[in-house]
Amino acid sequence: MPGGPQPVSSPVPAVGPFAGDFLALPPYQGTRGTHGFGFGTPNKLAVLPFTVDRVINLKNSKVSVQTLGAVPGIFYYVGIYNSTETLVTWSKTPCGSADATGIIEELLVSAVTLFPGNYLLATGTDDPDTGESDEAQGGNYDYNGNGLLMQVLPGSGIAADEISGGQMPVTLGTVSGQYPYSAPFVVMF
Amino acid sequence: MLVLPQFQGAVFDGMSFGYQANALEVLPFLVDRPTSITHHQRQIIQLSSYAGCFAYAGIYAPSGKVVTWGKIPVGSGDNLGVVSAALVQPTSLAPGIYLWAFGSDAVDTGEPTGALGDGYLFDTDMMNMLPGGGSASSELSGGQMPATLGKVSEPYRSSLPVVCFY
Repeated sequence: MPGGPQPVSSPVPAVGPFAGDFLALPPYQGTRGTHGFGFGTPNKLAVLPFTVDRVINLKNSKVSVQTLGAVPGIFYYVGIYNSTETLVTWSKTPCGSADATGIIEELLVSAVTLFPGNYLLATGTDDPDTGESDEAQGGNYDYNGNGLLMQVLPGSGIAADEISGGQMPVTLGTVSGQYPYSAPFVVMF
Repeated sequence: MLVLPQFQGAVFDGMSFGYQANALEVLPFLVDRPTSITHHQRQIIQLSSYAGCFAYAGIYAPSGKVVTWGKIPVGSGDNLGVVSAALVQPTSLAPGIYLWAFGSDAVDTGEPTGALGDGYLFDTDMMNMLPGGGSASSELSGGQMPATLGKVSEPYRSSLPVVCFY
């Protein structure tokens, strides 16, 4: 994976059947199902705030995707930004091949230690057609009904800075507007 | 008090869970404060066809070693509602990550009973995304939960009961 911040800690070693800590996002639970996500515009990022209440070591991400349209070379992006909207770590998952169906695990660009505090989850796709990379297969939270949950979360919305050159932006820029779409279930660990 | 699972999905009435007798499903969960527990409870429909069978719920350390567990009879056929049972070992959990394992020794299918209004129905993909989750290689034996989970690697296959540890 290209670029990104440098690791700030060693990954948690695997012990027994469990490799260590995990972070399940988004932390705000809604109706779940199979829903498309995206904006209708490629490279845009949806931003959701979340709180970390403990020290967490992360090196992997998982997302469940179901490829639609099988557009080769497109990716689904997941990133964590700190409270100053600066990129902490990210990954991208291929979702444009016919076989990219199911749970896909990718290394984060940088293994990272998150300390307790407020962070931002940013997700998006570079799908050139619709901006909807795919549908999440059983991994999607549907906030679409009226968008109320997203509207009441301070710091949530759509970032001014975009995915570019296959990379997530270093900063989010202004986050504004309402996030009207569903959110995929992402696990980092 | 702990209410599991921590990841909530749509709740369905009368949902069953379990896929094979004595098999254990495993999910990680977070304890964010010191928590003392002595009992567990869940809501069940007891079916007479499962006389002598139990539903098991246990807490394991990330290493896979058992911390405590309990079992609830599901085969008396004369009970419908919330059933509580003492844990084998009262326990104080320090903050951290733990593993929740549950299963049944019902001899037919491993489905101990229908869950009445206490079933969380997840697409198993979501469960399979959680690190440490899945199906354990160790199984229930002799009416006891195993001392260790063994290898937890098989895909998670079942829906979830709601269990309250308190």
